[in-house]
Amino acid sequence: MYDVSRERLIAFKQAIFPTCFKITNITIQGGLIVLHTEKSLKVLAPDTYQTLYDFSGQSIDKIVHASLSSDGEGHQLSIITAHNFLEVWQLRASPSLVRRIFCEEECILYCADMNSTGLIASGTVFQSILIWREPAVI
Amino acid sequence: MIFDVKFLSDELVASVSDDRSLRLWRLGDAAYQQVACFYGHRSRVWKVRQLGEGALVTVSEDTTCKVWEIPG
Repeated sequence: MYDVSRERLIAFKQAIFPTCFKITNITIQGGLIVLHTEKSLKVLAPDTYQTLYDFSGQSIDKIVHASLSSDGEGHQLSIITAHNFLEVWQLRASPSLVRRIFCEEECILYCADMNSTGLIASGTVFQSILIWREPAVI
Repeated sequence: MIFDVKFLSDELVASVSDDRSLRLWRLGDAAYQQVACFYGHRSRVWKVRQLGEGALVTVSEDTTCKVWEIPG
């Protein structure tokens, strides 16, 4: 962790994922640190860097994007995977899958993003971007 | 290959790819259309992030970061 304004290293934490050495993304969402590898994800406290949620080996596919939101009792995790589907997980002491939504366009992704309205942008290996969203539940 | 894609707003999306480009896509008439394409990196571009209002930063295999002004 760096303090950008002072250009200083303020914390160093090693072996967050003991069996994997490639962290693919780190973000700060809702004041919490969210970092993940292809198959594992952890949510850390911003001050102590202690693990609040350990989401390892839960998804059936590689994680390319993760969005964390508060759901009152805890947190909800939305992940977009390498085969272009969305998984929504409830994070508690142990995570539970709420739903899994497949995009009608089956494609391999290298990246994805989700905006505040649930719109998903999927960047594919075929130089295209797929924009899609979870169908509305009637 | 699209290496990174980022919503800048509900109507505007930025992408970077292995063709060394940064592209902007805007929603119009129910479809996203490319509105800008920038070249400047010498190698593949891995990441794009918003840098405050009106600017983007890209990270490339050419070992540089570049800051881009978003056209209004």
